[in-house]
Amino acid sequence: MILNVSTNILEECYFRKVERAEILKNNYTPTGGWDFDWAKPISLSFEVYALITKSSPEIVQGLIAVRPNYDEIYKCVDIDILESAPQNKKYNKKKLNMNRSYVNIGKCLVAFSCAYSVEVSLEGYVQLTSKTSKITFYEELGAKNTYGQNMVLYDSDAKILIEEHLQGGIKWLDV
Amino acid sequence: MAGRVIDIIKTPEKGYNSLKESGNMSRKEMQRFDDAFDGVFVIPRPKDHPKVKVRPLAEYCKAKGVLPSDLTPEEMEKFLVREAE
Repeated sequence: MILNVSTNILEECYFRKVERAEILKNNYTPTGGWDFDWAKPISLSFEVYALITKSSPEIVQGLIAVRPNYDEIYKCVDIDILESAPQNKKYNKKKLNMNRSYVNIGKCLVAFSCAYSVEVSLEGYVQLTSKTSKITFYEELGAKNTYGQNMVLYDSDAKILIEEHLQGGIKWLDV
Repeated sequence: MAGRVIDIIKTPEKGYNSLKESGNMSRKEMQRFDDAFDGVFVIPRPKDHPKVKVRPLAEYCKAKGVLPSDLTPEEMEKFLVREAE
């Protein structure tokens, strides 16, 4: 669940797939206030999903790029990039964001990757690359630091994250 | 998180249920995590970083009852895939 900062009310997370056309149309790129160009992971065969709310499904609250890897030595979901939408960041263009909409985007999208891994028969296994300084935050979620900045979530870690943040699994919503 | 939530507000006219937070603890924790990353939670794997054989590593560590970070560099090397330069 994500917290609506202005109302202090927790809201259910919903998800939908984001296509390249929407990324280009809505400018999910650095010029649109994002750190990443979200068209790039699609060109690398990742799928992009948006965290949304039921009341405003057209407004993206955060994005994640994922790709199932069925190779026997991996058998996990790879996360390429994961980012909060500009309206949910603490800072916007280096200025404190006084009109932040939601918090808890990061944990809910990591939980989404775990539930997605279960949905695509990869049992909840997920791997991602963390910034070096943020490794301890992932360890709080149960992730294991393997080598360098690589973090892995086991099936048992995934189960806990899904129960904590996405009770009932992924709720899909089409616009 | 569920332990910190006490009130349930039903808003069927909007078609969904919302849970009202009872105090600042939960919000603080949510905000602490998000603020630590300031929006960017996962970065692309640098091309010069090896891939990790996730499943064999997990099975090995579970069988030994250790974390990947407990492995020696020699043990860990068996679970890395270095792409040809």
